[in-house]
Amino acid sequence: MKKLITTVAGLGLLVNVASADVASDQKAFINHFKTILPNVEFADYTNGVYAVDQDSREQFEEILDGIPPYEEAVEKGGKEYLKFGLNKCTSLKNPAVARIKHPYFDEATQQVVTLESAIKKCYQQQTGKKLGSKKGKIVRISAWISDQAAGQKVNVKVESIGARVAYEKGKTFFYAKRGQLNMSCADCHVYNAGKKARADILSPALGHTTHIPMYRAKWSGMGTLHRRYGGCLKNMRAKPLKAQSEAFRNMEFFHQAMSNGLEITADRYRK
Amino acid sequence: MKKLLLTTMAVFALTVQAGSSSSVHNWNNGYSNSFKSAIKAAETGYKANLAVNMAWRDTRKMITEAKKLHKAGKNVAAIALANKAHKQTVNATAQTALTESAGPRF
Amino acid sequence: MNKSISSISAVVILAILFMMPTQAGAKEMTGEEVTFGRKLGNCLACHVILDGNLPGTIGPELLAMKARYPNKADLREQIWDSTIKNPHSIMPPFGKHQVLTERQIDQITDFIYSK
Repeated sequence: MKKLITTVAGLGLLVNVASADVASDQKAFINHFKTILPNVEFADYTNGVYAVDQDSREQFEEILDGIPPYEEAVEKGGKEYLKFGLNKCTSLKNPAVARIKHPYFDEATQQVVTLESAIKKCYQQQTGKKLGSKKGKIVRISAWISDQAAGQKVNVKVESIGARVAYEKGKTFFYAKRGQLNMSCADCHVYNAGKKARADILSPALGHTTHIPMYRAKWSGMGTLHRRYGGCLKNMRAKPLKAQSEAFRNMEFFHQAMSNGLEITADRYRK
Repeated sequence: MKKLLLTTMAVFALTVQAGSSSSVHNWNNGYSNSFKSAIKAAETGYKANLAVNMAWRDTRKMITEAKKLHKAGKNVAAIALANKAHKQTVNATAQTALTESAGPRF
Repeated sequence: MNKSISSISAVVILAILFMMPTQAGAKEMTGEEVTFGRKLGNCLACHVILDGNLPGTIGPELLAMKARYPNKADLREQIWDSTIKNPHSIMPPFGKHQVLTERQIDQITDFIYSK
C-alpha cells in the first residue's frame, strides 16, 4: 500500500513536472522572439510575417478588406460539415470547442489527436468513405470549424506522462536537422525568423498555428498544417512524411503548444 | 560503330573484372566498386533512414535510376550513382545520431 | 595550374561518359552561374553578393572576402561543410552532402573570393 502511494505520488509529481516544463519551454521560446524581434507584441504573432514587416502587412490588410480568396471555400466547408453529418460526432459537435480541444493526447490510444485526424475519423464513420489530409474537403471543413473559434486562444495541454513523451518527440523533430540541406524547422522559423530568404520573410514559429488551415498564394489554394510540413521537408531535401503520420501529429502537438495563449484567427491568408 | 562496340565491350570487361576480382566495399564511407554491393548498401541504408523518418528526398530516385543504368549495361555510371545514393544514406545516418541532442539553444 | 587543367578535363570526360553524351560540346557553367543558380549554389538565398539581385539576409554579406579569408582554403572549407566550424550553422554542407560537385565548389570559391 505504501508503495502504491509512493508510486501515485511519484506519478503526480511527474505530471506536474510535465506541464511546468511545457510552460518553461514556452517562456524561453517567447523570450527568444522578444530578443530577435523586440518590436513585435506577443498578441501580434497571430499575424505571422505581417507582424514583422509593414509593407507586407499593408498588402495583407488590402486582401482582407476585399473578398479574401478563401472565403467561399470556408463557407462551403460549413455546408459540408452539416451535409456529411460531422455534427453528429461527439468530438466535433460543437465546432468552437473542437478547435480549442485539439490537438490533445488520447490516453486510450496513447496518440495525439489533431483536429484533422478527428475530422477524418468522423467523416469515415458518417459516410463510410475516406477523406484526404492535405487539401480539398478536409481543409474547407477544418477551416470552417476553426473560424467558429476565432478570438479564442490556443490552449494545448500536456498533462500525462504519455503526452509528455509525444510532446518531447515533436520537439525533437522540430529542432533536429534533416535532409540533404541539413536544416531544422527551427533553423528558419526560430533562429532566423524575420530575416529574408531571397525576398521572402521567414515566418516566426510563434503564432504559426493560429491561422491554420491556411490559404497560400503559392498554392493558389488552401492547405492543412501537415501539407505545409511536407512542403518544408521537401525544401530541406528530406523525404516528406505522410500528413497525419504519428511524427507529424507529435510535432503539431509541440508546435501548437508553443502558441498557447495566442488568439485563433479567421484571417488565414499567407504568401 | 565497330569502334563504339569495342569500347563498350572493353569497359564492360574491365568493370566486370573490377567487380569480381577485387570487390571492395566500405560501408562507412559509401564506396563500393561492384554494383551489387553498392546498390545493396544503398538500399539497406535507405531502409534504416526511412524507419526513423530521416530519409532524404532524392535517395529513392537515385537507387531506381542506378538500377535502370545497370540494366542498360551502363555499369560504371550505375556503380557511381549507387555509391552516391549510399553516401546519402551514410550522411542521413550521421544526422540521425545528432537528433538525440537536438533542442533549443536558448 | 596543371592540376586544375587535369581536373577540368576529368570533369568533362566524366560528363561525356555519364550524363550528356549528346551535348559533349556544351559549355561549362561560369562561376557566377553556379553561385547564383537557384538549383545550384543559390547563395543569394541567404547572402548579399555584389551584382546579385534580391539577396536574402540570413547569412553575412559576402564582401571583402580576401581580407576575411587570408587563406582561400578556409573559405572553400566553409562552403564544403560549414558545420565543421559551427555545428548549428543553417548553411547546407554543400560538399559533405554532395549538393554540389567538387568542381562547382571550386568555381564558387573562386567567384566569391573575387568579391
